[in-house]
Amino acid sequence: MAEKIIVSGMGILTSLGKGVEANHHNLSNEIHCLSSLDFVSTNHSHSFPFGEIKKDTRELLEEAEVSTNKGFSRTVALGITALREAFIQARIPLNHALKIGLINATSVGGMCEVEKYYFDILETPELFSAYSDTIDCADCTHRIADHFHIKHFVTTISTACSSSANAIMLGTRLVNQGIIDIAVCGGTDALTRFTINGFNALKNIDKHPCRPFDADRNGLNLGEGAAYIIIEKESTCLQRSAEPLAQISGYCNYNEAFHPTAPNPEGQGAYEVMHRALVKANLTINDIDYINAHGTATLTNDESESNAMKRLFTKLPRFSSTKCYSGHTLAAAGAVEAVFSINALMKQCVYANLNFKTPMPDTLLIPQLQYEEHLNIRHVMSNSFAFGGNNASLIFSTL
Amino acid sequence: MSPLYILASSCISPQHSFLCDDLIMDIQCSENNMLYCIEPDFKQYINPVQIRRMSRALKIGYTTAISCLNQQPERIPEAVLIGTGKGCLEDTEHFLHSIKEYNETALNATHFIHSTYNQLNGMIALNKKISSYNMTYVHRGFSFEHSLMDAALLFEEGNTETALVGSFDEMTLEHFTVKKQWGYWKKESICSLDLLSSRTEGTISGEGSAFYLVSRHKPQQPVASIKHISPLYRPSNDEVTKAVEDILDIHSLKKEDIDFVMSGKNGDATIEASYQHVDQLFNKTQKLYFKHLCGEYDTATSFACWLASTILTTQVVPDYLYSPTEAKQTTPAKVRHILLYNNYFDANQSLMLLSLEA
Repeated sequence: MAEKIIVSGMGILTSLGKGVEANHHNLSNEIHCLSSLDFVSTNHSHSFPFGEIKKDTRELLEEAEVSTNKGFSRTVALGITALREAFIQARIPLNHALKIGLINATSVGGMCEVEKYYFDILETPELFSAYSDTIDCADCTHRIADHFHIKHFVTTISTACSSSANAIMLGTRLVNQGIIDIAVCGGTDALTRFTINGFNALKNIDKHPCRPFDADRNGLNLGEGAAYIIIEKESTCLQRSAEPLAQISGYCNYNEAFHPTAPNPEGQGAYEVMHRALVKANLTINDIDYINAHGTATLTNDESESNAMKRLFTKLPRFSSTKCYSGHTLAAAGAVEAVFSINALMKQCVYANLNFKTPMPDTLLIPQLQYEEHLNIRHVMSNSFAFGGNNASLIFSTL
Repeated sequence: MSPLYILASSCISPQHSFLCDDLIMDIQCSENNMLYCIEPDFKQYINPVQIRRMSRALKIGYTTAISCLNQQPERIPEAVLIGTGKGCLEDTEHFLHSIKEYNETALNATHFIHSTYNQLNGMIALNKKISSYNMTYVHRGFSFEHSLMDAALLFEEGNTETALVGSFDEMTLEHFTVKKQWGYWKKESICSLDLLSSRTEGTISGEGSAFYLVSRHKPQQPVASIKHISPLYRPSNDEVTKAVEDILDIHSLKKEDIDFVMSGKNGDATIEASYQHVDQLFNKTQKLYFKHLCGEYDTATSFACWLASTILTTQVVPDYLYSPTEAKQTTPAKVRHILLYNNYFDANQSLMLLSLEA
């Protein structure tokens, strides 16, 4: 039997706070951190609530301990701060002989900086040469990898809202096959005028805090953040007396091939990906104790995901969406929610789904409505579904 | 790693590579440091409703992918893996301009949706009904390499028999202009065919798409296989040497067994040293070149891979792949192994071994 692949460190930075504990504090007290925008230049600052981290980029860069004048983007600052926490927890020493890889995810990379200067860049590019490469997704990954001297495997995944769930999956597979010893997996995305206008053009941002799984839900809230987990074989972790936090027991990536942006309302893809993740984990439907749902609160996602959950699970486990706290952090969301899911295992708790009043008439599903702890949580499923039909599901288990 | 046996391939590039299976091409050149793709008749591959909304990069990528799949219509791949450094750049630029022009109101979401890097993945899966594993790698000079590595991982894991692996990247005039100011391209205009003998800083821009239908199992007929992929992040010369030695070791090859080294040399004096290092490692081996044909871009190695795999299956080594300034050795009786080395602006270097599986 193959050796257990475990998580030995977690790091996170969202509007809920810096660090796993700060995030847990707000989640467990059922406090959302959505507000109007202070740090993105857009006409929509006050139109919608956002999960914005209340610091300007300069301050975030200083906190990340990187130079503020060398073209480092907000995306990089978020990434470095989140990753540092994970590194410390995993007790990765400075002088190690481990093969470490970074599998990073982002949806728009350095767009948060590029969009500020884009038209100036076109006019006077020489003034903005520090930003010469930030328009793509790899820039932030290179800068984060270099900051932590990671070089054995450095890549970036961008499959929209499932990106960092896919990063976790790839890291698990690379470790499993021995290509690297340690995979640092997650994602980072900063709020941008570009993305806000994109989702606004799609007409799926709610003017109020979002209501996942509610019959009267009216769209998502956008957020920003970064989260990373450290993935390795159990023996690698124990050799340096670090502590395994949870096991990665199952995963699946499955494209439902239904529509460019919308999910199948019947939930065919969501059903398949959850089912296949269970098979991979060698678990049955009764083993899942909590589902951290994708739950964007868009009309289509929640309908599709509800139908899929209802069809797959004869007795539905507790489930909630945590996007009503931090907003949808896009490419970072899979990793943000992986951290929440692992924390649910470690603290034996489940998080509440905020703003829920009325069940959807077709499914009548009711999500978890209060924060609860002292439960028996052995297996947690975390879903991430994306544009292009790209669905991902991860299962984390206690050791 | 599990070898990837190439069952079919397709390539759109600045050369007449599309549907060209014998490498006999009338070579194209440019005089303005930009090489643009020769566009086939997209309408043969894309339905009229979709084509209106698609940008150039999507059309190029989609057509390459579909024409590759069409060569083996009975095979439905169980994975779609695509590398792209910049995605649909034109859509990204278009959406940035509309945000400004329309002051953040009444925007059309199409360009935003198409700027999402996994658009092509989704479109191929949707139109070809490929419900399965689907990934998009967006890591500059590793994008294509990591897509291939993922296919090898899938084959190793044992549940996948066939995968569609490919890449696409485009250059827009706007992006070319910005990068020109930042010194990516040569200051002086050169003829693209003189790229290899250029000694100044900077290179010329390029673009293209290549797709491969790869199998876990060796087919009956002789095919080319991708046997090894080594992406090297900011490697030292010693690390490149070590990676070369490892590849030779793992595949029980000697340096003399490598029939050609296909070099990504791009005429840029600033990274010339890394290419010279590999040249010295293989000082007795004949070199072949490709950037004078396709230009420099994030996923240029997918074009090189198409050339190398076609050389292996056809045993034709066209003259246009040789440097005009280097002595040409006798072509081996049988071309069996080609080693590809590429350096994408220093950070992303890669080695790839392609072999003939007879």
